[in-house]
Order: sequence, then structure tokens, then C-alpha cells
Amino acid sequence: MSIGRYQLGDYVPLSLQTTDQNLLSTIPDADPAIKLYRNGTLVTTTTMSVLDPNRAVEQYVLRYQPNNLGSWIAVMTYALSAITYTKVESFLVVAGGNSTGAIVAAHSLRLPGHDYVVCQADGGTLRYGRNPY
Amino acid sequence: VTTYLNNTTSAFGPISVAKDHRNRPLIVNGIEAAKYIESSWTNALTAGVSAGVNGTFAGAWSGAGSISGVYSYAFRFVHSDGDFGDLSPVQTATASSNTTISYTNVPLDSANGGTTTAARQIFRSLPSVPGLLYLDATISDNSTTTASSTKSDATLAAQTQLPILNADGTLHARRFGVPPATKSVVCAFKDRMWMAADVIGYTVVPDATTINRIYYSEVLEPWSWPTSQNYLTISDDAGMDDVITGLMPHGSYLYFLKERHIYRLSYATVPAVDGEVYLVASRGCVNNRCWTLVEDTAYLLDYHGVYAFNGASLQPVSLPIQDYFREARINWQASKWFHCIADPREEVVRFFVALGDSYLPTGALCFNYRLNRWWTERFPFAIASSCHAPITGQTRPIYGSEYDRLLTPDSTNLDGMVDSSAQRRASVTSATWLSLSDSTITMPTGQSYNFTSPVNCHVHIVGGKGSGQSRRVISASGSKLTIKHPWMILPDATSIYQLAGVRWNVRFGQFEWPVDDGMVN
Repeated sequence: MSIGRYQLGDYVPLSLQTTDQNLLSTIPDADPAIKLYRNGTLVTTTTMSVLDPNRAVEQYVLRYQPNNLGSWIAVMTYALSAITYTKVESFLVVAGGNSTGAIVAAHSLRLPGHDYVVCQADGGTLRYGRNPY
Repeated sequence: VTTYLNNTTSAFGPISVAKDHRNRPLIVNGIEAAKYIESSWTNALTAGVSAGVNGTFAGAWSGAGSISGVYSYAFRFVHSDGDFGDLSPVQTATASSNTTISYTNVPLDSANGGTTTAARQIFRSLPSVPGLLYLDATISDNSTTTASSTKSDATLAAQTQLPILNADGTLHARRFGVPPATKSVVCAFKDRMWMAADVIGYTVVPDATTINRIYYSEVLEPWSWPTSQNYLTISDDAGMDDVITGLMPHGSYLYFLKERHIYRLSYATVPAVDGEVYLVASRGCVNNRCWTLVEDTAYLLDYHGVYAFNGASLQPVSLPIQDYFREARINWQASKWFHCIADPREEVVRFFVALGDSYLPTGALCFNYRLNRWWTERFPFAIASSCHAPITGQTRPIYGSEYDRLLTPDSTNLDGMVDSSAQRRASVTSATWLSLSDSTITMPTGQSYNFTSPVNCHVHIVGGKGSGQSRRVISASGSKLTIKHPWMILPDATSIYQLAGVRWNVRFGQFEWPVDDGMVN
């Protein structure tokens, strides 16, 4: 199933409800694995995090920030009593955007000689600008 | 903003920054070790100085002389900024008519790749006085592993003293702990640095014994955090699961903000000794970015609304927009990203909140504190952060937005683009579900980050068929704009499009014209 169109810098919300063959929410044998392919090539393999640490609902999530344009496929797998279940989702990463992501924190610092703005982006960077006038 | 300080900062939550009395910015996020920005502004490095760990470090006496007795010794790291690390555990070496003590395997500091460690100091006691040490040797690098000293007792006693404990039993030689890594908010207050607020919802669950602690540094030692003694605990005596969310210095007090309460700290010299903490308000604050001070009054956002707080009493002010809080229009799941900023030029405080299912703030609850008027603003893009900065000599807001954009309000004719030639309102020639064309122009194709291109801006249909729709532009080529999401209603030649800017609607209040008795005009 397609979950939409994204740009560089967007977070793609990938989610998975682990259910048994009767579609009842069930704790899997281990945290689900997820493989992400771009244009048919495997880009990364990781595990998904449980949304609720108390496992009241078997919802697993991965907020993924894609690093390239293209057609992406997410293959999520989990095992229940040695039976493997799979969910596949696809999304497009279209042009535009910026892989740095959103500037989620900005702090102005007045220091002798210069004024600085320190910025945190949700792509994982800390940067600064000087004398922003 | 192009100079990188660090490329591996967690994006789980926003950073908090405070500068110390030496103008060194301290950066915390409650997940990673606190960072500081070095004086050359080229790196954000781990703050604090490592504690000394002995390993195979040893001292041994040799040579024939007059020194005898049991001597204690230990070492510590010295940062290039002059800060110290905790003294290592004390070891002993016995002299028997010797002259020289040789130190071997003096440990190297690996913090920040060893680049910020300027020296190591070795201290030694007088015979049988292990609680007071004196500077015996200094290794002025982070590579040499041996040192020696021939100081007699009299010479040693004239060196810099380092007591293990102060006279009152508090830590002295081991007061230089590194800033705690689990606190996400930092501020400076009365020559100390303060840290509080554990990160909630992260993989690592906060420690129940420390979640209600507020840590503070030594006076004028912003990297000295003896966390075993320099803390205050705000107990949950209100009987609610209330967590610390922020620190608010205001006047001569420091206020501890929780989700549902505010506490006030006052102290004379040492907070843990003579400090008093009082519950002063039964309202709280969503996070440390959701309070601001305006003319001695604080405006805070909590889960029930916005209120003004003058340090002693509070006044709810958000009654006209209380629907936002009653009707779950605000996505509180994303509350860690909420923030606010006061704009003194407009006399307005804007509280940026996530509306609908967005996780970054896309709307603002706006309060004119002079007129007591409210309105709301919604944006086609997220405003994820804000701060003040001097621009053309005037302190003005700066907004951090999506796709690495910093925005300043009231800077250009249209929000989102600076190139006036690119600002465009015209008729649509043709459109597909994912594009729009205007054959009368060639779309500008500059880089989006310098705002000369419409890429990442929105295109709005402001007239004709499909009016009211806005879509993000993902590319511009020739006469065509390609958009991110398909139109709901396909524009045609009757449609008028507008590049960049933010669509707005306004509805004014009303008032009755007074009518004198018996007169109708």
C-alpha cells in the first residue's frame, strides 16, 4: 500500500500492528525487522520500536528520514511462534525538500564581537550562523 | 546557517542552550552528554572534564635522601579552558630515606579525542596527612605518561593546596563532576548553571529517584556538577504525576516549572543548605519553550490554556480561545515541540502549537498583551522553533521552519521568497493533477535555500476554479510548477495562482454605534 509522497527532510511514519492469524494483537517473538529498498536496492535494515513500552497495544513504529529521491518500499516482518508475517508499504520521495530537515530549535547568543544563532535540525545537525543581520 | 558544529545530535527533542559567565554555550538535550561550543566556534564538543581513573598509574620512591613517610598521591585532568576534572582515587607510596618520587603510567584523557586536555596535575600529601594534597607535578600535554618530583615536605607544603573535602564535609577535590546527561533543560542563574527535566517517552525510562531533581553547578564553575550533593528535589506532594518541564529565572527567583505546578526557589548562598522552595501556582507549563517574559510578566502555556504569572499570582488570559483546549484541536502528543515567542514590536506573544495530526507546530495562538486580544494563525509549513536575534539593529523574531529554512517576519513582500521578480500572481494556462503551468513566464529555478526559487514554497489558487487550494512546489522548470500532492479540484484557465505567501482570512470584532435616546441617524 502506498503511504504517500514525501520530500527530503520529511519523516516517513512507518507503523506496524503485530497480529496473529486471527488478526488479534499479539506480542511478536522479537521486535519486528524492517528493510527499506529504494528503486529496488536495499538501503537499510533495522528494527522497529514499540510505541507503547508497556505493550498494551502491539504497535511498532519507525520514523524514517529518507536520504534520496525515488520509489521506496518498506518490508516489515515479525515472527509469532515461528510463523513469519510480512507487511509491505511503499512511498515516493519526490524532488524539493532538504535533507537537513526542519530547524527544530534555534537559540540566539549575544557574545562579545558577534551575535550567533545556534540551530538544531531534525536531521541530526547542530549549526550556527553569525551576525544574522 | 551553514557552519556545522555537530552532525550526530539526537533529534528526539529540542536542545536547550545557556551561556556561562565565560560566554561558553552549554547545550543539553537530556539524551546525550552535554556539549559546549569551543571558543573558535568550529565544534560542539563534550562538556565537562573526565574524572581521573588510576588504572595502572603508580608512584614509587627512589634515590638516597631524607624523605621518609607514607605519602598519598592522585592526579586530575586539566581542560584547555582551565577547568578541572575530579581527582582520581588516592593511592599511597612509602618513602624510606629517598629523594625522588617517580610517577608512571599517568593516564591520558580520551574525551573529545584527547584534543581538549591541556595538562594533568599530580598531587601529593605530606606524610600521614592524606586528606590534604599539594600540587607535586604538572604534565603540560596529553601524551607523556611519566613524571617525577624531588620536592621536600617543606617545598611541597608551599604549593597549591587541594583538600579532598571542605571543612564542612562537602566535596572539594571531587566537585568537578561532568554536567548530568539526563537533563534536557539548562539555564544560568546567580552565577550557577542549573539543569532539570528528564526526557519522557524516550527508549531510556527516567530514573525514578532523580526525575524530580534539579541539579546545579558550583558558583562560577559551570562545569563542576557534584551531582551527589548539588541538587534539590521537588517532591510530588501535590499527589499527581507531575514532572519537571522547565526552569524560569525571573527577577531574584528561579522558578521550577512542572506540567501542573510552579515552585519558587530562593536562597542566599548554597541552595541545598539555605534554599527554600515554595509551591506558588497550581498551573504549570508544557515545556521549557512555552514560557516567555514580557515586561515583568510571564506568559505560560499549559494543558488548560495560557495564563499570565507575575511571580506571586496568576491570571488566566486565554478564555476567548478556550475551545482550542476543550475540543482537542491541539495535538498534545507533539507538545515537546511547542514553543512561544514575544514580539515587542507588535506587542504580541505567539504560542506555536501542532494542530490536527501534524507533529511540528503549524499554528499559533496569538495574544496581544496590550489590548488583551486573541487570534489564531495557521501556516502551510511548520514553524518548529523560534528565537530573538538582532537584525538591522532591532531585536526581531527568527523562526525555524521545514527544509532548513530560517524565516524572519516582515522582511520581504511575500513570505517565503525574496526575489521580487519571482513573486507571481497570474492566470493558470493549464494544469494536471500534479502540476500547474503558466505559459507567459519561465519559472525561476534558483536554489530553494536562498529563496529565489519557488521550490518548497506553496502555490495557492486564489481565484477561479479550484480556489482555496494550496500545494507545496517540489520543482520548477520552464513554465511548469510540479506540486507535492495532487489537486482536489483541477485548476483550469479560469484559475488564478499565487506563488509564495501565506493565505489568510480575517474576521474583525463588532461593536454597536451608540444611539442617543430619541434620535435615529
